[in-house]
Amino acid sequence: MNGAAALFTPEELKRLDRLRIRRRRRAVSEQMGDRRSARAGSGVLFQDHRDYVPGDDLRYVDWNVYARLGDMVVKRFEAEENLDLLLCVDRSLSMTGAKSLKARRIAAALGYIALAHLDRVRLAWLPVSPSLPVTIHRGRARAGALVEALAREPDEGTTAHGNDITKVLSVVKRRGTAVVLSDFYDPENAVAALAALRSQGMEVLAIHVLDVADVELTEGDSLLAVDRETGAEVKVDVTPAFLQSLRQTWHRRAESLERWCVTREVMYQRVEVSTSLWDALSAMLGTAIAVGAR
Amino acid sequence: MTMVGLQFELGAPLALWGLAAALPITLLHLYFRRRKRVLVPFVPLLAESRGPVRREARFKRLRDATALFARLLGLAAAVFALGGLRPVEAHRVHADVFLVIDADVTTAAREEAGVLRLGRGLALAQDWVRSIDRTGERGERLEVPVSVFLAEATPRLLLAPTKDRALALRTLGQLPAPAPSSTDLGAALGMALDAAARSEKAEIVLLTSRAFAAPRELPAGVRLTVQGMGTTRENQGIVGFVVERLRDEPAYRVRLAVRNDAATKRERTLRIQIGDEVVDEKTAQLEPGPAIDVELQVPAPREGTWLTCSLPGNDRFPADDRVDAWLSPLPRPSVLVVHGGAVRPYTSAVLAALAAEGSLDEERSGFVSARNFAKAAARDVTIVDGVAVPAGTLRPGAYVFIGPLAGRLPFETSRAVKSPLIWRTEANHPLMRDLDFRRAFVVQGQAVRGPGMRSLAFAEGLPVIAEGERDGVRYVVMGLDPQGSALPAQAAWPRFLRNAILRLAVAPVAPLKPFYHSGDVLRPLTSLPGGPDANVAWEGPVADAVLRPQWRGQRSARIDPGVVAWHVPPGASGRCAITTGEGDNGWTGHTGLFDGDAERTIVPARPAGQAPGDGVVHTETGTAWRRGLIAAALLLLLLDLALTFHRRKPKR
Repeated sequence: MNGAAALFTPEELKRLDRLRIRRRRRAVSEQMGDRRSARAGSGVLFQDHRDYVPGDDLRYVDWNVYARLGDMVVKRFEAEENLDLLLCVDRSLSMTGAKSLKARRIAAALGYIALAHLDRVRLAWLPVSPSLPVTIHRGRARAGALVEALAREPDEGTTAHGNDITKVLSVVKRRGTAVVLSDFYDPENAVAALAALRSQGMEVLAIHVLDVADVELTEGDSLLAVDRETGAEVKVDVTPAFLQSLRQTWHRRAESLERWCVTREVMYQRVEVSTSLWDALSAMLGTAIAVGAR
Repeated sequence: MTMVGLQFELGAPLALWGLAAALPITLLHLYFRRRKRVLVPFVPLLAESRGPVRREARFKRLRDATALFARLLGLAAAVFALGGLRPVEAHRVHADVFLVIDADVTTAAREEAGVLRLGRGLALAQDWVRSIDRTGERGERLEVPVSVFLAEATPRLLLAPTKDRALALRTLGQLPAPAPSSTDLGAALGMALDAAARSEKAEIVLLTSRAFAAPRELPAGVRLTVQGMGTTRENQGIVGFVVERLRDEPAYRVRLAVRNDAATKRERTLRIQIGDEVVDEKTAQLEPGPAIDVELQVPAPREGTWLTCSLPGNDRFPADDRVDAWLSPLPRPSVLVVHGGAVRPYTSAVLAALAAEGSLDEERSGFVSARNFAKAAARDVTIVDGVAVPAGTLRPGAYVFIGPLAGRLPFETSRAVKSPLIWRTEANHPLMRDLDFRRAFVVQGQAVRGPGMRSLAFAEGLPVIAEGERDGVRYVVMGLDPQGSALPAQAAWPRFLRNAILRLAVAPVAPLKPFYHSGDVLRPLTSLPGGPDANVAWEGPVADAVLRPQWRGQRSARIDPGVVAWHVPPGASGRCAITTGEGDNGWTGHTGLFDGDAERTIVPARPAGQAPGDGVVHTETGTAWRRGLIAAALLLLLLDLALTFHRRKPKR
């Protein structure tokens, strides 16, 4: 797991080891995992009894009940399933800087925790890599590779979340939990992407990474603002009123996205770049993939 | 330059270089106000935010441009204030013009190209006349009358009000040379004001380079314009002069004060001439500012002669480069030595030395034996050199008796002193000046006494040197015989004899001082030989004779010690000869005239006036403009500061 050092210190890794991801809803998974499932199955945690019917595995007959009461009942156990986690990380040029680092650290933390508990983690970059839209990681041993991939991948490309998620879903057929980390500066594409994930039956968590520096301009300056992604230019005279208008627009956009998510059963989490990793993870307690102590 | 139809001029055009500061100011403004290129994550966010506040952005750009404009205007106003911008008002003078021209001695200074300062003033005055609106196709007539006043010691009206343009120009072209002294500018202006008060509208143009306090209030309708006439200050001159006779030597002490008016240090040579002979030349580094004193000593001439001190070389004002003083011969008494058959060698040697020094009139002096003494002509001083003169031959007069004493004397001799070691003297008495008889051992001596005698030296408690007077005989007696005496007595002897001769002699005094200051009364020290009615002739030293005739003049005057005789003309400088009587009874005396006015300087107190162009005049009313420009500059810079630091509060 040497690759994990690319984004975390050893102390942070130890702390991450003590965490696990809990799903609010039981996972529906075809593979065995170490996570309780809503379905009764062949786990180890006893759930209840039911009457024996021919064909039941005699190994699950509760012989003690039969001896005491003479009824043939079989024990039912909670099925243990694994978590299928899809991490969609925005690496467009608008994320360059603190936002990108914050998004990658959160994604890496979630992926690390999931892999530590034998969950399957799929990593998709937004915009996607044309050759390999999704990389799949499973097992604790892959945690280092996942973190290293998150640290190594450069910021590039322009934001087109809708198209990118469509490409991702073309290769990810399984339902699971999708976490999208982005600054969501292109709201139309963003909601299209989240809606597509949701329509796939996934639990979706939108982590909105915000950097207040994006709206911190020096008052009195006359600027030729150039878009990092598109190269589009706009002339701006930074007046107090403009600064106020800019901040209001910025907040209004974030609130608008949050309202949309709430109405579409998409979990929404806002993370400032100044927020620590642990605070960001703690804030997810109320979301679909609450992170808590093991 | 012409702006908005008005013509302007600058007092200090070099200040316009300050406008070059506009370039860096503009460049700095453009640099700091340029659009900075910044990368932003999402341009549509800015575009969306910009919409509601676009108007304020336009206001900001307008504010920046206005601030720059105000800054540049403020700079221009400050530069023009420093440069002394003033309007050259179009000369639509519909007012009577009164030209007042200062012709004081400093206008004899030569400006650039050798033009006299007064000449420049006259040219300015002519330009004024030419610039006045005129009527008629040929322009012979002026529209308004012009008058010309000349400021001299007493102001005078040079041209009565006239509209004859040619006459005015001709009059101004024929002005006499500069006055030899300072002039009464206030009186001349007063005359012009009196004349202008009778006009409904009048313009007085005062042309002077001197400091002048214009009247604070002018009569209604009268406007005063003051213009300078020149700028040169390249002058070094002799501004102080003292000649005094030394008390104990046949020499004069001469003290001069030399001043450098130029702005920087100058090297000049001070030349001292006695007659035609150059006796001394000193080269001095003259710092600008206060005068420096130069002191020197010149020997008294045997005959009267001129002492001339000069600063050879050229400067712009030669009138103060030379002073003259008449050095009269010092009074030299005649001496008769009465001996006993042969003059004692020691006395003869002493008198010869005094004659060589010039302290004696050698031609009128002589020697005579005691028996012929009665026949000898009287001299200023008679020395009875150790002999007895025949009884009854002592006539009233001055005598020096030298031991051994014998015969009939105006005092009594006492006993011979056996140990004639002088032990006490009256050292402060003029006869004993510079003598030291202490421990002087004399071979033989006699004590003296007598009524009215004052004892000056004592041996064995008895007087051996004394002076006194009896029956018209003024005498100095020395009861000691210097021959064979000890060295101190021999060394002191010549000095004592010289003191005694000069004290007793009554020599004629020169009636005139070496020089008189201009403006002083020429009062002689004694009556002039030949009578008080004298002819006085004087001549100035200025080579190019640009000054008035006062530098050269002649008149009859009664020169007498008892009456106010003759005032040396103000500004007169040079040599003066006074002649009395005629033929053999005639007498001619000399003295110098010196105009040593230390306050007189050619350093201009105001900038040179500029010649008005055709139809315009130049004024010196730049003060109000300067204040206005400074105020405008301050206001514009305040506006600039206010706009630069203005922050509009955003609406909530």
